[in-house]
Amino acid sequence: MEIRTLSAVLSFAEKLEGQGAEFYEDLSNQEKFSENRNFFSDFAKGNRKHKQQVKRAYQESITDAFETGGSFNLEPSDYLVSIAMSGGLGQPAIIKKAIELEEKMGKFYLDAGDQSKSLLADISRTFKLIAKKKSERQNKLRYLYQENKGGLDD
Amino acid sequence: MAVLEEPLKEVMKIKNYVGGEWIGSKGKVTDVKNPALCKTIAKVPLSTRDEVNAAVEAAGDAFPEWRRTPPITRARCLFRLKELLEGHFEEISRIQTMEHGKTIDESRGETRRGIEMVEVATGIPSLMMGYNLEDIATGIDEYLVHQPLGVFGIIPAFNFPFMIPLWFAPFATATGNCVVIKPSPRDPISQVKLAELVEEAGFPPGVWNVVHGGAEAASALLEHQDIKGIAFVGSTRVGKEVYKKCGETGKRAIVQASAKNFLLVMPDADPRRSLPALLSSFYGNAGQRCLAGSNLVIVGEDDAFYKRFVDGFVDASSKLRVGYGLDESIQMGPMQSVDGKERVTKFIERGMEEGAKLRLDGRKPKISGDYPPSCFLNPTVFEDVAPDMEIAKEEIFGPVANVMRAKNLDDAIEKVNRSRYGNAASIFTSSGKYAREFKYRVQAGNVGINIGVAAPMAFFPFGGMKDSFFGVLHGQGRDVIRFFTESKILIQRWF
Repeated sequence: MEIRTLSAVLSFAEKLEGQGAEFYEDLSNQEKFSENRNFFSDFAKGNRKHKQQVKRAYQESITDAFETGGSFNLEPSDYLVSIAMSGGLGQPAIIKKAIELEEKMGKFYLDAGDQSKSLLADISRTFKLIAKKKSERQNKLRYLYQENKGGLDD
Repeated sequence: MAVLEEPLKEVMKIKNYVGGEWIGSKGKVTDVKNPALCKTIAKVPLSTRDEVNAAVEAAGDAFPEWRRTPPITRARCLFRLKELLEGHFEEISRIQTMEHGKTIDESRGETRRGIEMVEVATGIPSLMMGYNLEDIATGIDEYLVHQPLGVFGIIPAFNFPFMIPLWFAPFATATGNCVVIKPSPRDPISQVKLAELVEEAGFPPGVWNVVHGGAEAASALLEHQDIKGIAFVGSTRVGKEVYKKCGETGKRAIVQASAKNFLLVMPDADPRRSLPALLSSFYGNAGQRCLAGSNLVIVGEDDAFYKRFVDGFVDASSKLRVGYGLDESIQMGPMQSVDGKERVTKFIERGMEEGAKLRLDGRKPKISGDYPPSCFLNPTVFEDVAPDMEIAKEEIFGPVANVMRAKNLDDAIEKVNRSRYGNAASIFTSSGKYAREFKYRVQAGNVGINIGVAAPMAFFPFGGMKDSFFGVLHGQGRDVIRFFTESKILIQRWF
């Protein structure tokens, strides 16, 4: 079912960030990523921070007068990535999955930011800031992918 | 999409909060219903006159010490209340959806607005300052101080059960007064929650009292000699009576009353950005708000623009998802009561009798989810509405939009100003000239330019003109500080 209300946007963002945190926490505990433990645990912390940022922006800027009911038309399936991984996946494949996750989340924040900009400027600004963070994370992951691609199975 | 968890698990038995104690009432008890489910969620007493008198007495007893409490100490109570409200933000919001029916986004917006009032009132040491001038004559100085008056009564409407008392109570208590709030018996639960937090915040007993009830309790407040002023929000019909009674008993009064708000769309308006604002204005809170759009005036003689705009509005209105407000996918909740739905339904029938064209009929509602239809309506749109039709003149207080045309801006402003009400009016345009002309000439207390709901923030007064407001000083902002204080003049000379 498409997302039409700000409340649903908030819940979906929380779901995405929760899923992201879980994914990176899992990676940080995997033996094959032992050299990148901190890298992934920082990503998980980042997800939790983004979740807080979104919630705060929402709760502090929502008022009864803003256009919360009719501004959004987002399709959840456009932003969801399955994070289920089979045990045999190599590091590059997993990092590719992480890049895809960040791309989809970034797209979600950009789209939600665009659709919320009519009156909810603080929310729109927060979404765009987080989208920028997601883009930076994609670059870091791409770098990591390049580093790992040579020596490991895809 | 999943329905959010309900914070009220069993039927609540509501008590009055008087003198810092939770006291049962001897009055009759009435049901508070969740309008989406048609299910009783609380039992609220209709307190007796004696019980109201006891609350006024408790407030009067608390007043001498409270007014002597330094403003910064009073402000600290409000700071603590603000923190507690933030901590219970979600619970309070969900309670509002349960007792009123509004969507969860709307409830959270209402909670935020309420908290903002408390935040602004914490600035009371600055807000309450007087002024002075040395040497008004040689060696003589003059001072003005603002002093609290005593006990105030607050009689809010049902449509914003949490927020409306907060337009007044934080400012009243911050200035050193004591209050007796009589919430609407239709949706009093969030006021119970608020009083619990007031108690936890450490307000001294008797400063903040809540007495539940109906007309008898309201009359008792209006007639009580020790009440210095009344803040009332409700219909013009009752508001006029309240204002009259306040005059007879020498009380100050803020009376915020009914509305019939016009939204003008100029030919140069941006349809893409205007539409969400219009939908929110007409259908937000299911149209049960004094700032809701009611008459949509499309300005100009361009038939193609008119058709395109109205078709788009009707189409978007028809697509709004209606259901239980705790379901996050819902864009419009039910009416707050069966009576409310019946009243709106009668207006729709009246509009048809008067010859308006029913473009979208919300009387047989399509509801998302398996809920009883008792309180639900869908958005309704009338076209070809003439200004002298009853549906164009009277407050409907429901999700009904009346579309009319005006030849030009002059014609449109004339239509707005012909209304007996003057609560809010908005224009959608990209022309500064049109906007300036509109805000200058329109007779409405809250004016929006490309804003659908021109709701003033806590630090500005809530405007209102003509039959939408009775009184001199308004709620919120600097006005309300003046309302809750007496200006005392001191002129001194030393020999």
